[in-house]
Amino acid sequence: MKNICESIQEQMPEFMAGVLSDEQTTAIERHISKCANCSEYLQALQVDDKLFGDFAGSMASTVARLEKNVIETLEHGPADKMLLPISIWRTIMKSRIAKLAAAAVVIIVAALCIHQFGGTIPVTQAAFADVLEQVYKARTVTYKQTFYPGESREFTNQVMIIESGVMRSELPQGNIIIFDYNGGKNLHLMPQQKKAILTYRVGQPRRKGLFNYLDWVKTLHKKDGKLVGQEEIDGHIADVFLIQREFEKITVWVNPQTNLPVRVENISLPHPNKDIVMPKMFLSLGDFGGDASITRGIMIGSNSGIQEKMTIVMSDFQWDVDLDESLFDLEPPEGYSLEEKQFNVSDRGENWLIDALAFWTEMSEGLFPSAINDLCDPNLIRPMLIKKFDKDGDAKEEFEQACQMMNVVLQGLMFAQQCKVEGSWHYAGNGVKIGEANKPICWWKQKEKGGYRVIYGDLSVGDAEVEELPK
Amino acid sequence: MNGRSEENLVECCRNGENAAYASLVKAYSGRVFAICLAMLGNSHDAEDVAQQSLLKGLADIKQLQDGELFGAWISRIARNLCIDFIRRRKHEQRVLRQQIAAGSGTSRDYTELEAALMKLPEEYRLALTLYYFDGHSTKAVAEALQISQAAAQVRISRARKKLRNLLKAEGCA
Repeated sequence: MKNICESIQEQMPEFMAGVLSDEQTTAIERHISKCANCSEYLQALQVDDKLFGDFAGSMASTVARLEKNVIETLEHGPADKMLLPISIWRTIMKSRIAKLAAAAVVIIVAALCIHQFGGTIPVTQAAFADVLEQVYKARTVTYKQTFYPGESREFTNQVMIIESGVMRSELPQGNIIIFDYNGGKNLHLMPQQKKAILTYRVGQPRRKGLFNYLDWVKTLHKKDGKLVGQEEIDGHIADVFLIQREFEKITVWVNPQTNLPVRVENISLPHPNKDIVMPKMFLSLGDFGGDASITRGIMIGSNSGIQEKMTIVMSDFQWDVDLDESLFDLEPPEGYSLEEKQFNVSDRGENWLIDALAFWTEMSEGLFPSAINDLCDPNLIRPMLIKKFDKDGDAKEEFEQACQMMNVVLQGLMFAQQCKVEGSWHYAGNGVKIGEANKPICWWKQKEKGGYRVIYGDLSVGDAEVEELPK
Repeated sequence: MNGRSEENLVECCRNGENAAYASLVKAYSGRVFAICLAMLGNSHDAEDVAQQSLLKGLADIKQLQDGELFGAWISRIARNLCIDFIRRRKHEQRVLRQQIAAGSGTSRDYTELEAALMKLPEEYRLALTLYYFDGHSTKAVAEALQISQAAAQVRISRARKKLRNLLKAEGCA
């Protein structure tokens, strides 16, 4: 049995909140007036109440910001954000881990390129401007980059960047990728196989001035980026800057003496709408009669939420170290076999999607996909690619052609995903056969022109008003 | 909630009306944040996971059978995401944050309170934080923690008592 004081004290939160009945309130008041113990307890609770109330009040701006961020995502979606040129990675690797590592390296480079295309974001934090200034003075930088891709195993690579903007990434197991954005090419070195692959990026958007991979710092501030505290990193106190964006949270730890970053953590979040997928797929040379251990993957992402959940940590920064220029040489070392490839990264917009749908209908007896995301279903697309290109000829050549088409299909799907992000995507291809010219297959809003853009069943394209489209 | 019932709002969300979700966000952001703050112990991570929770709520809204249970459901999402986060954080062995007064987080004035709060058992910490962040309502605490209102009342009361003792021991009484 509870004693009366215990029972009264249990009801005190409600008593203080004034939500008890008049009868209960009177009973408690009567008891308190006679009981010093409960009266003292009530006073102490009132003090705590104020303290806790103030504490909750101090978080009001955080809750308001949280609310605002979520509601902005709902109201405007990412449509008013930068929908930027798609970046893309691909690689040829033997082991799975090395493949993942290489993939991740290119993902980060892709992300950096995307941000860079977005232009300069105004600096609003004077302290962060100091950091930027120091970074731009730097000639070189090296850092360790660790990827935590969702639930998968993490992996680390070592990155070096020189003033001309060329970046060298040393992967686990000794493979190396050298990225020359300005020159539009990448060199992938595989020392164990003495093999080099030089990839030319075709149709890369033109830029004003040279791109430097150090430009990533430009992405690390926005009007809401702020100094949030200090932390101890490797025995030294660092200033911590936080940048919270719609689909990512970036934390930068800065040495207060040098104003240079000592650690960067970037947590990216996928779009909350699960129908928005990140186009990706792998093909194996083995599917075409060649070495089955050779695979190629394509993954397309953008910073508008079309990405996978991943945490990237950059640490062990060294600024302005002397780096031998030969480390960034785009000529393969002596004794390496060289394979050269081209890769189309141009922005063909709706044409990617039309080509993707044309391939699909060709391989599925004229029927359009039942859902647009079928375009990255490996159980559907891989057999189509193999059927189309495996003709028992030169395995490498067939594999290459299949990879080119895989790129077309995924680029087409990426176009649709971007329309989805803007909230204006409609698909009605299920059950429709190629040639049905009066049937709209898919349509989306045109931002600048107004009205809708439509792809019809004969793959022709036209403009339409909303009343001309299916409900 | 603009005069519309929670059930009605959830139904609208299920039909793709994202704007309806804004009303639910306004009603529940404090509660979701409180859960995350109680479980994670710092406002930065709490804000981050609370945002994920609210967005996940929209993404998964079709899984919610009974719209009237949105409050309990979104609370469970937040708790599960916090558990995931804690698991990952342990893995990453992150160093403890030292907040500074000028930051966007908690000011130094609440250091003792925060320390005492973190010493409470999780169930008490959750009950108390929810109580203060979610309108001083034992009904809301009961709903968020999926316990009876009477149990919530007892839990809050015991949590306050324990917190009182902890603050007293810290010399803040």
